[in-house]
Amino acid sequence: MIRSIILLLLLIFAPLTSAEMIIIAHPDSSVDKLSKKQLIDLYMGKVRHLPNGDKVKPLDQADDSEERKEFYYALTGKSLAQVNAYWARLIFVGRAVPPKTLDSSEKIIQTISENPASIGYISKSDLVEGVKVIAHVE
Amino acid sequence: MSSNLLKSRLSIRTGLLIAFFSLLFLIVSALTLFQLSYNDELEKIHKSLFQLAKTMEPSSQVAVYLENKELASEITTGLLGNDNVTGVILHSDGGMLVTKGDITITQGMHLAEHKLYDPFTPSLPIGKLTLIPNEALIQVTARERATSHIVLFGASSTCMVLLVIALVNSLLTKPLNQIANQLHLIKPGSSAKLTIPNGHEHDEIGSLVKDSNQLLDEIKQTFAQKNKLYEEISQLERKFRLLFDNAKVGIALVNLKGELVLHNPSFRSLLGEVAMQHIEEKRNDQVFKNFAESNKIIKAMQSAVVSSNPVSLDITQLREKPHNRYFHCIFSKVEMEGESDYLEIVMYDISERVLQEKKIKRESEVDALTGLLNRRGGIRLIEQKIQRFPETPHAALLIDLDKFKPINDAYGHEAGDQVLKAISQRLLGSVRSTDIVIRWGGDEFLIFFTCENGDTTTVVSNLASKLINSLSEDIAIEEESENVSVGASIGIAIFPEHSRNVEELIAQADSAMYGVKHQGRNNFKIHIPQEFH
Repeated sequence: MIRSIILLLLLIFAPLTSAEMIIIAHPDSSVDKLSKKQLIDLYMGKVRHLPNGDKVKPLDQADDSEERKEFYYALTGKSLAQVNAYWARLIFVGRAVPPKTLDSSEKIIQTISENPASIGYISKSDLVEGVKVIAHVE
Repeated sequence: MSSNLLKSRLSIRTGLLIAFFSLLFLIVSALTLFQLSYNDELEKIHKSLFQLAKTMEPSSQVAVYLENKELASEITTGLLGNDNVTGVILHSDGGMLVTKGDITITQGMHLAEHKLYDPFTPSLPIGKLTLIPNEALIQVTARERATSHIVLFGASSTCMVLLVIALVNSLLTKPLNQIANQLHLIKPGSSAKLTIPNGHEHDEIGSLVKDSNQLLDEIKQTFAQKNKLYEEISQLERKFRLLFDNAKVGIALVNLKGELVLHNPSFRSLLGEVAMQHIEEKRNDQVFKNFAESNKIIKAMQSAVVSSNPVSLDITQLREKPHNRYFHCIFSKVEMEGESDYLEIVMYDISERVLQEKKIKRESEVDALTGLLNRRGGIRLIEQKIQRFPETPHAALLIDLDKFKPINDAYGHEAGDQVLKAISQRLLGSVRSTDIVIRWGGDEFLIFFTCENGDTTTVVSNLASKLINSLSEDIAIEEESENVSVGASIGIAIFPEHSRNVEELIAQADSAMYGVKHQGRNNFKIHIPQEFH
């Protein structure tokens, strides 16, 4: 009885509780930790290299995925529409390239595990062995 | 000429005054308004530049954030497309500087600067967007806009003023002019009326006309009354004038300063030209000089003024020829309301009556045969004389003719009368004209002789002797060849020595005369008082 009530409450509040997003990298990556500012600069196209000179390839979740929405909101305080508009403007001018989009957390994890320069974000609940967490955003 | 027109024409004056003050107001307003409008427009344009910069904020933020020169170039080029912008500067704190156009910054420019913040960390400034305004163009634009405002304001104000002038003219000035012109042509007292200008029946102009008409009506009535009254007065005046001018009575009005204010022709002719001339030349003391009662006249006039009662007086105008004239005068004070008092003189000629009376009186006192005074006339004159000279000696000589009766008997009454006439002439010739000669009775005469000088007894004795001699001379009788002669017995009494009473005096003379008769006639005797007998 009590258990079913808790479940119900969880169901009700589930959409409101922002799931903690974690940023993951290849275990061999030289990067162990990224600041919020570094994350913003990497994901918004300002920089492509880490301070130590290593190139970084950020990976994006699917356009309309819950993870993407949560991630950008937590990182920049902007909605997906704003983020999309930002990129649309930059693409139009040229030179700027948005992060590569993969349509699931599994593919991101897989790509990262295969490519040490890549970083990506997933729900904390989707974390699996074989990647390392280099940052949290919430 | 034009200034006269300006003063005489209300409509022109009103119009010009409104136009003048409106123009004054318009100029002041326009100058103020232009300045305000110009500043306002400048501010608007500058504000629009700030807004323009703000509009470009998101793109600029991104360009500065990414330090993306392509994006920055695109943004600045776009901004330079605005006419009011001569130059654009976009710079990032990271070191990117993109400029477009003329970026010379001079003193006093209103730069539109917009600070740019990190799009993902809003509190972090990352750069600045600066628009350099085209001040020359902005000023020209602002001036043009302000000018067009002024033109619009001026045009609408002018229309307003013209409308006001037209309304004032048609609602006030024109109807007033119409009334004034009508009123100008109306003669006071005529029955002409003003007409109310169309559309003003119920307003103030209408009541002005109504009230004016009422006034005109009252004026007309007053004129009619005045004319009637004037006609009546002038008729009356003509009648009075006729009465006054043709009166046989002399009428004059003298003011209290003694000036002759009014007189009629009769007054002039009665008083005489000489006296009138004295009046005209203000010699009042000379006016009554030729009147016997000049002092009395002055007193009577003063008394009339002082007592307020009429004073009447008979006066004598002394004339050599043909005879004195006699006037009856009435002096009375005339009190006129609101004016000082006057003295009225009414004077009429009573000469005829006075002369008639004098004649009758004279006849009653004169002896018809001899022309001498009779007893009554004689006694009156004697009384008069002793009244005038009460201390002067006078002698009463009673003369009785001797031997007269025989002449009467022998030659008849005719001859007797001739003798008496002759005797009378001799008596008159023997004394002065101031002495009194009286036919006392049939053949008795009385002389009242005034002895001013010398010893009375001597003078009287001499006179008596002279009389006896004179009377004793022969008398020629008409139709008779012989002369006749008479004698005279004279009795004398002296005033006041013998008596102050005339009757007694004559009785004393009579008694003395009888004494002469007894003693042989043709002599004289002076009365001797009793105690000396």
